[in-house]
Amino acid sequence: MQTTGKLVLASAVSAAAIISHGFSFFSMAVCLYAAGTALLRGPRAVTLLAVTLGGFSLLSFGSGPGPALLTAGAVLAVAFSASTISRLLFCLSAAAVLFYGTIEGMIPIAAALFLASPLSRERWRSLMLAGGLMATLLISGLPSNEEHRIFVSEEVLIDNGLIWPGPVELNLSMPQIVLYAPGMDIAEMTLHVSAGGVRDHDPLGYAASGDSTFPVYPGENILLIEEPEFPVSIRISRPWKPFNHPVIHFDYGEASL
Amino acid sequence: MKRLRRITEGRSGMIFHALSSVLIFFLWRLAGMPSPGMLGRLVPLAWLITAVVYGKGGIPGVSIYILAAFAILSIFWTVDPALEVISAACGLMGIIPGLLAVSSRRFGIILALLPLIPMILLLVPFTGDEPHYASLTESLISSGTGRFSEFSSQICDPSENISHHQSLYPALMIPGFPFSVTGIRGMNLLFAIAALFLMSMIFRNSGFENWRKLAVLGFLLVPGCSILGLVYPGWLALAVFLSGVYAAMRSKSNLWVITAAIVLVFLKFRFIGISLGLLAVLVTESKGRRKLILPVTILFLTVAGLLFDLLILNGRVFWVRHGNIAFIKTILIQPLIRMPEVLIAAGSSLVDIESGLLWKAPWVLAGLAGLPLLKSENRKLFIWLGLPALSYFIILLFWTPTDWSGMPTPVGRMLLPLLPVLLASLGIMMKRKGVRILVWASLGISAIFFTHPILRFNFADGTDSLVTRIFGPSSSITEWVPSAVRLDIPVFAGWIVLAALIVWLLAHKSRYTEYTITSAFLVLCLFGGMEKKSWEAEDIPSQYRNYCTVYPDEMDLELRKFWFFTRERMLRLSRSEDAVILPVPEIAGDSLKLTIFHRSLRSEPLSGIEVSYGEWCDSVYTSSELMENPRWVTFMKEDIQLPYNPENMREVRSEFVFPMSDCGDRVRISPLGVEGRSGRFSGIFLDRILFR
Repeated sequence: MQTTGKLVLASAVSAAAIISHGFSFFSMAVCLYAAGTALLRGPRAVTLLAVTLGGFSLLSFGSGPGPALLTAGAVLAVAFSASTISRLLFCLSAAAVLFYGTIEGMIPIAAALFLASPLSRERWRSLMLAGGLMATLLISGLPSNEEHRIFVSEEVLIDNGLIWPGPVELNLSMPQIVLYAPGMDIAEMTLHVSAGGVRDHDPLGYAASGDSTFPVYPGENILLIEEPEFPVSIRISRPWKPFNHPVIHFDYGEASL
Repeated sequence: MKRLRRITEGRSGMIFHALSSVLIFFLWRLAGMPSPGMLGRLVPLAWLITAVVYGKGGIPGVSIYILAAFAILSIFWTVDPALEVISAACGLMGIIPGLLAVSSRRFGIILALLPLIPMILLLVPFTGDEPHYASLTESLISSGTGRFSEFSSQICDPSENISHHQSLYPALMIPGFPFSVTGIRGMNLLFAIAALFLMSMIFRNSGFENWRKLAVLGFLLVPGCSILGLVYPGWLALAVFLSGVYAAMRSKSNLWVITAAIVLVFLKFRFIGISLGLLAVLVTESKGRRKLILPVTILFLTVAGLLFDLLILNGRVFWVRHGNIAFIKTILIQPLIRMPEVLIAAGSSLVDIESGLLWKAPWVLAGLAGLPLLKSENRKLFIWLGLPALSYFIILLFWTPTDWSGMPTPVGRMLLPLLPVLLASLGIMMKRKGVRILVWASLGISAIFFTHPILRFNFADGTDSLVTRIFGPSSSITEWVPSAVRLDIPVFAGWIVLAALIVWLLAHKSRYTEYTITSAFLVLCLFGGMEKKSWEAEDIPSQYRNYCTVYPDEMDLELRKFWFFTRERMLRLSRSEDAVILPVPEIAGDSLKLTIFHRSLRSEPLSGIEVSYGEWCDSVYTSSELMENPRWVTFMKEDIQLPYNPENMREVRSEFVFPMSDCGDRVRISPLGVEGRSGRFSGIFLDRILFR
């Protein structure tokens, strides 16, 4: 593909993004990213990866994984693009994502991008960026989404009761499940939950109903909640920690009417 | 030190793969990614095996960038569940350049397959037809109840004691049976290796330079990877088919081709298409007296075979399944009455989001574009691989136009016999612009299918499990992708035209090919990222509904297989507590128009829908009419009476208009006239909700 053609394509995508979603820091990030990709000089595989990640970010415009995909694409492109202008555009794109502010813990990555993008040697840039990613882990942990990623369970009315079917896997990318029972007075509910992935026996999360909380321990748990206040939620309470993979399997919940 | 240097000299690729294995193992745990005990071990193991088989050679450049992508994405995995899938797939995809490099060595195909074997054996759920085939194998060696005996019958079996599967394929898996699931899957891996070996030999003899690499791509890409090592007869059938082709092309052995054609029918009756194609090529390619003798011999063998089945085998192969008037009528109605359905089925094989190859294997476009070139460069190969594939494809479509895809088993498995001709064509097209993009996109999707094999399975409900998992159930992308189950003619036709355009551009070496592919991808992403204004009711996620049930409540396609007018599932609102509460999208103008497509059965009192938006509320009472029998149903059986089921009722379209003021951001849709009512089909069956 010729650079002119790439720039035309990038301009079209930028214009379409602004027309369809309005102006925001994320739209700006998309425009900068598109321009950076058009000017990217480097291996074809990197261009292809950058286009793929950028394209996918449009699918969840400004929410969900969109900002993260754009940042990941920017880090990859800055590491391997031979064009300084392209690298600077990617760097500014990541900065716009930072200002957009839906992802926490991005400052070390953005700082590493700013420091790495002017460097001409690929090896130094890669080292700087790897250092930035490690610094992110050390300083703020894994970047996380400010949006609450909550799985809302389906509620199914049966003959004389209500069930919330499973299994649903909760992990740090989807740490919470919420159960509702609209218009129902429930005297007692039972939650069947199993948990694991940690190296101790402390509670891994909790189930909450109104002001009451019920710990979820590693292993099998059957939680009995009397006169539950809805919504009832189950949440992983452990933050990210290296070599821990906290997971809660919500098997099912049941209540009699 | 010198000795160490001598050992490592020229083995930078091997060292790179080994170190990458350690890096991925470490990063997986450092980032706390899910499934550390299974996927977090199998992916590094695949790298480690690649290192072992890699031998001498440099570092594959592309692997470095994919590995870097994995390292970066693994840091972001907690941001969204989709990133976990993408980063794990990147982790595996990094070995693919190494596997392609390994393929050029001696035993390259087997060496390239080795790193993926643990994943195939341990990760892919043992489901679909697999347990049924295993039960047939079990029944051949033990008469008592075994571990698979509960799977001995299926809904579509002709009778209780006769399976619709044939016995030859299960019998060939007996050597692996003592080792349980791993053993019978291992047998299928052997069948796949045999097919790949034969395919590579055919390519080599036909003068392809990249013959081994093509064979490796054959199992890395969909449809090859879909059932690689799984208990389905596809790869074995391919081995038999290719053995016939190999024998015919090498030694002009007619006997072997006829034997292969017969064996294919005994493996699975649907492979009769390949058999007919093989025999047709045999006849057309023969010269002199043979041109007359061969058709007579084939006819004689067919009649003898049918008589043998009828008199000796009690019709267990053909007559019990297809020896009836209904089968003949089924064959007749397709070209006479159901041609539109057949054409849609043909289009679906390419563009349908669930079963179409465009979405799972875009490389197929390059394969299609190269067919004319293959014909002009190597007519013999084109005929021998192409005609059996074509006749198989046509018979598949005409026989079962509504369920040719064979879902819910892995996507693309029914199209495996098309693989050799498309790969041969790809081999010729490989160096053209745009082809590599399609191949690498396909390899990326295959990597997701290897790491998350459950995403291969769809249920013919209009949603694709891969798309839903990556983009979520609320994504607008579902409105823009074609589905045969939820047929939207403009979208469906649009994608057919786009696919045809890309094929044309590839075939004509156009410099606009890459622009078109990239633009199509980006336009889809832009449209998919827009606010959702149309909801398929059955897809509405639980956060937007109170109770409600999906009709039918079973996912199994068999329940919807014999619906005449639609195969879409519906959302049933049958109790006063049931409601759909949808977010209102941004609408230009001063009014909100809501269109609801639904069905309800005639009843006293009438059922209705109430829609409330803030302080405004409106309602409508309706009942649907029973539709008339389609022509083809009357042809099959004149006195058939359609049951009063929701799927047989005419859809009702209700429109509601509300002023756009500060009415809140939600619309509530609830049923009316359902109090105190019960019954299987009471209530309202929602199909689609549109905001304008």
